[in-house]
Amino acid sequence: MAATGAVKRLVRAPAKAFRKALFPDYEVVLRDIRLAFDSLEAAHQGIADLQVENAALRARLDEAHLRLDEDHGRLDEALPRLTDGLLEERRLNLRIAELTDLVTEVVLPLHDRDIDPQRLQRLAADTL
Amino acid sequence: MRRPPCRGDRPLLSHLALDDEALSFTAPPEDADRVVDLLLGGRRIWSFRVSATEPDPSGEAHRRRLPWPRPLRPYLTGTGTIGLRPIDGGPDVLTAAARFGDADQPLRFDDRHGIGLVINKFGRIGHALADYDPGMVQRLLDNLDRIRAALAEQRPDLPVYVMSGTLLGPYRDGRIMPHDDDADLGYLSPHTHPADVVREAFQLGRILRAAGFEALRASAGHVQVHFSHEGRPDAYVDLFTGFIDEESWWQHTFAIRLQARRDQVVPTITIDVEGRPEPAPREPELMLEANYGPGWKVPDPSYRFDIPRSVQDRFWGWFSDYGMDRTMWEDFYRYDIEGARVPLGSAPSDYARWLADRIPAGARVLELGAGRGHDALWLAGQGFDVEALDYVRWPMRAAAQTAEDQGAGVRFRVLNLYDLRRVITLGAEMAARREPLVVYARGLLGNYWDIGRPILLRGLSMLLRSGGQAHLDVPRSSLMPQPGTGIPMHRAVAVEMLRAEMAPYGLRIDEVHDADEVVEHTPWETGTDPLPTTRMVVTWQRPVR
Repeated sequence: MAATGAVKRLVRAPAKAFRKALFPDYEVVLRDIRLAFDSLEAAHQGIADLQVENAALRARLDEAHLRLDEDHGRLDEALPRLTDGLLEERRLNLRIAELTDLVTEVVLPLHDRDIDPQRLQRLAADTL
Repeated sequence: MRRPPCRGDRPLLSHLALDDEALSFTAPPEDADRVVDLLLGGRRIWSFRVSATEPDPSGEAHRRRLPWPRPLRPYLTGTGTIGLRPIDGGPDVLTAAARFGDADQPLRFDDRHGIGLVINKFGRIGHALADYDPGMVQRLLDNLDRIRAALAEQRPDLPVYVMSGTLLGPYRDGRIMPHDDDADLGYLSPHTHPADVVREAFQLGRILRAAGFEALRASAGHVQVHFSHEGRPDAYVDLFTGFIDEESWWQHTFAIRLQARRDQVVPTITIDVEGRPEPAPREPELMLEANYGPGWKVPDPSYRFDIPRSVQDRFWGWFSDYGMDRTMWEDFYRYDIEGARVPLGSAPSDYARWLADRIPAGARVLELGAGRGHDALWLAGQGFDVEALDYVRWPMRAAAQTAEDQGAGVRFRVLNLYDLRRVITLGAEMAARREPLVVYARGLLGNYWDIGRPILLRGLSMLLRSGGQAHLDVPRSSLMPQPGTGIPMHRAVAVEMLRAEMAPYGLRIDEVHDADEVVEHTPWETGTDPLPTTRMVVTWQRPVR
């Protein structure tokens, strides 16, 4: 073993010199390769993180879809009621106009003989 | 109007063929947008766009088929000439000899006064100004001016203007359109709230009636003013309501909704209408585009209104419809020649006979929806004290005349059961007599739209306050459940639903009886097929509070 070690020590320097002559950027390339491996490892980690994040987002999206479907359902259910309510609200304008017209054109003229003007004059200026 | 370029003079429409169901012809695809008049004996009776026809079932290339419009079918009997004439003036005018049925009588599409009929823009039988006597247009404009004058006398502040067809034709070329059937006026209310606008509209209707016009309320935002000439109905004038609300929406029957400033509508300008100055909205093109779309400059007798839902909903809510199927019913009685031949009072229904056996001798009877008046006249002949009403005008007048001629003593009047104000007034009038009343309404509920039922039930609850019964029937099968067909509605009504609706008004169904009754001369061409109905006897009980 000691002999092997001695041989290695003996050839290391010439080998290094030879490698430097043949491939001067060896050290730089070697460092870049290490860096590349580090980057790859980091990328893998990043991908794994993104996958986790994606899964979380997907879960949130599914949940949002579910809520949206429920909201749509509620909206579909509510829309006819709202439309009916809107129609009813619009029709109330007509009903008010019809009844006001009926009172002013038929009821009041029919009953004017029953109206006591003095009693009306005693009413306060403002309705209470 | 020029024909499409690069078509040369080669005839485009060709090979007109007729059968009992439809007409067919050949037209290349380039002709899809052309509008074609349908001619009977050379007279226009309808217009259609080639694209509105269907491919012929023969599968032959470019062969098109057009079923006869339903309202026209009863008239297709006899011989004559049918033609097609493109309105662009193209040379491809087609004619074909027609024979429908075995009769040799001339094929006619006329009213009883001999005035030609047409299928109008609503797909119903109507008249076109071109088919009246030559003085019609000037007479119509005279009537329009009289209406304007009557309104101006009482409401000088109110801007009134020509609109719709009476604006469209004259603004294009100074002429009333020959295929139009009436004249149209509108006004801009000073009010911004629908309830105030409607109250004012009612007042304007009364102004017209007080001035001697036959004013008929079609909706809370639309009055029709009818005229007669030499004993027959003449073309009418519409008065439409417009207002600008607080959000600057210009809302106008019939049927405009757009954002506009007041100064785009008034003060009015003057346009030439058949040689006479008439007021028009300040920016006529704004109104014309809203009514007829961007293509309003090009004449199109086949034009049909496509009113947006947003407009329909608003106008339905604010102005409702006081006529519902009234025009269709009036047209039915007007054009049902066979039904008109049956002497009035000579054809009582089975229901009327059934009723006569069940009510006290000499009872007071009020018939609702009396139609031609056969049952009312017959019941009077049996010794009952009869009053009858309906919202169709010509039949009520004819029945009243018959009653007078016969000394029958029946009182007929026109009364609209969709008009809450008139129904309440009728209820008060009848209740004031403090006598039991038999109310009789055959065939009413099956034709009566849902929107009117609360009005009718309120009226019944007033009519029966002094005792008596209401005899009403409902169909057990539907003959025309869909609206918009040009035929009056007819549909089954569930007795249990009515029972629930009547309860709040103190009305109670005491008896029900199923019947099968043959009713001839109906709009649904039932012939001698029996109609299954349920007859109800209804009384009023004071509601428990």
